[in-house]
Parts: sequence; C-alpha cells; structure tokens
Amino acid sequence: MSDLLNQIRQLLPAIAAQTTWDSAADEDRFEGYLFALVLTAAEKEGANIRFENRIGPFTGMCTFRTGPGHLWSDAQPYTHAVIEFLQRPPLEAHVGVFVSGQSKLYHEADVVVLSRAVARTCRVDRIDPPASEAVLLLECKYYAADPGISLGREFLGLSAECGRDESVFVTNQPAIRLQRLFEKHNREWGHRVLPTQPNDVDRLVGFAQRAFTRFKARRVRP
Amino acid sequence: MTSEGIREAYRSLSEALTSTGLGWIVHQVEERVREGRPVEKEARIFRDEEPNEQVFATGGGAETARRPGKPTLMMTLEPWTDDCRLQFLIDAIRHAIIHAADVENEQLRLLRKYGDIKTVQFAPDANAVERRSFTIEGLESQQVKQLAELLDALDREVRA
Repeated sequence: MSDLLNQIRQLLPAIAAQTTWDSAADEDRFEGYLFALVLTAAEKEGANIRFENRIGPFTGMCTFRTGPGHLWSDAQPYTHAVIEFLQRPPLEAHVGVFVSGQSKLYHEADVVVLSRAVARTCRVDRIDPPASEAVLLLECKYYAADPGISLGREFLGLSAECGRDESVFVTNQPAIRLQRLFEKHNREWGHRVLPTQPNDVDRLVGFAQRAFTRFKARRVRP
Repeated sequence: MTSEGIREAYRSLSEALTSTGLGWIVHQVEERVREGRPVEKEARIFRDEEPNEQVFATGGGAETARRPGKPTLMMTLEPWTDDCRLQFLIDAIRHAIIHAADVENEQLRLLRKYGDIKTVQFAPDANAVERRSFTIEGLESQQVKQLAELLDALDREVRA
C-alpha cells in the first residue's frame, strides 16, 4: 500500500507538468468532446459537416470559448460547424454561447445547434439567439467527484426556459442522485459519457440523432 | 486494510495532489463528502399533540404517543465511511486525469473526421473574467497509463 502511494506521489508532479489540468480545462475539453459527438450524430443522420471561423478562413485550428460568450463575438476566430442535410435549411453547432430564455433572461448553452439563418442574424446584428430556436442544447458538466444536486436544480430551470425536449444534461459521472431528479421531472440526461463507456455515449448520440430527425421532419419556413 | 491505514492513504494522496497544484480534485471530493450519504429510515410519526401535552416526553411514554400503523420512510444524511472517502478520491483522480486525457484524444479523433484539424484551442471571449487560454494536441502519455494502473491496484487493495 505505502509502495503504491509512493509511486503515485512520484508520478504526479511529472503528469501535472504535461498539460493544463484544472477543473475549468477539464470542462472545456468535455464541451469540445460533446460538440464532436453532436457532429457524429448529425453525420449518422446523413448531414454534411464543415467548419467555419467567426473571423478569417478556417485553417485547421478549432477555437472554442473557455467560458460562455456572445455568438457574434469576434474577439477570437471562434469555430462553429455547419451542418447541412439534403433539402433542409442549414444548421450551425456552437460551443459556449449565451442564449435568451422564455423569460428573456440569459442562459449559457455549453453546446447548441440552431439554424444558420438565426446564427447569421445574430452575427450581423450583434444579438444573441433565443433558446426557442435551438434544435439541440447540451448542458455539459465534467466533475472529478459526483456533481452536487444544485446543478440538477439549475438544469430544471434551464430546460423549463429553453425547451425540455431539446435540452439534455450531460455529465461524465454516474450522478445517481441527479438521475432520480431528472426522471422525476421528466428531463433528458446523459451520464457517464466518456470514451470508455460506449453504451452511454451511444445513448447520448441517439438523443442527438432524434433531435436531428425531428428537425428534418419539420415544415420548411417560407 | 485498517481504518488507520485508509485514513493515512487519504491524507497522503490529498497532500500529493495539493502540492502538485491538483488540490481542486481533493476540494471536489470533500464537497461531496460534506453533503453526506442520503439514506431512508423507517419512522413512526408522533400523534398530534393534545393541548397541555408534554411535547418532549422521553422514555416509555414516548412510544405510546406515536401514530399507529405502518412506519413512514423518511430521509436522513449519514456521514460517508473512511473507505468510501478514499474510493471517491481514487475515482476523482481517474476522472480528472485519466478520463480527461481520453476525452481530449477522442475529441481530436472525432473532429478530424470532419476537417483537417491539427489542434484545438480554448480561448477566452472579450467579456471573460478568466483570461487563460490553452491548446490541446492529444495526450499519449506513458505516465498517465502508469497512473491508471497504480490507481486500479490501490482501488483493489481498498476494496479487499
């Protein structure tokens, strides 16, 4: 036991020096991963996908926000994905943008998919998208330990504001307590979403696929 | 493993994490431990009070003042045991480092299906309080793999 602990103690400084390990960086990585899973779902539903930057051409480096910001912000060459289904209006997927809810309050959408027409309007007029325009909205929580119940309560409010059918709470943890809360209140959730848990990943991708299927079935606005 | 051994292992790991700038992992675990373990207990509720009744009566008389019939399931919070705390910490290190490295690698692998992507940068927006930015390029680290094996071995010892 003490030998194991000594070996761990000796390894930690070298590992800590390798990259940015902090809770915010882990959360950022998780948002980028879930963004990629949403694109996987869109591809499974037959979409063509490409990347664009807010400013300048896309040159092989994706830039995502470390915290929520305005979709229209040109402070950095933020990257979004353009998702195109045959004979449907194009969509865009964004990481970490503000959306406004039914009560006109601001919320943070960790990953959101919305129509390209709405996103273009936001960029040109420097306004933020209404959550009602979201085809899919992911609340992403990456925690080292089991996330507290307060996060679940926050998500109940967010999904009431932004649409419970389009919103999903996603975490890397089993989060048993939150599962009970979300089941009781009829909310969508994805737990243990990690590359080592393909079954849980597939469930989330399936939820995103359903959102894209519903979008494809909608009547096209003139 | 003895209780003292488990407490010592928790202390040792916590100190190692804190001294290498990873104290936030310990902080998250302790927050979880502080919240306690919710458990259901059967209880029979006292009967409604009569006027002038002695509310805080104890001893034999207290039992007779409870409602008849089946007990009710009610919630309480109990403290987590020492071995649970240590398992939480081991699991938290897995999530914070080993699974986080997996997430980074998988993110890049998936994004590269849709474009010629070399790196992913995370950068603050103009209004952000925190100004740090960082770049990920994939993390294939032998040391991370070794840490995963050591944590598995420690976990097995705690559970034994």
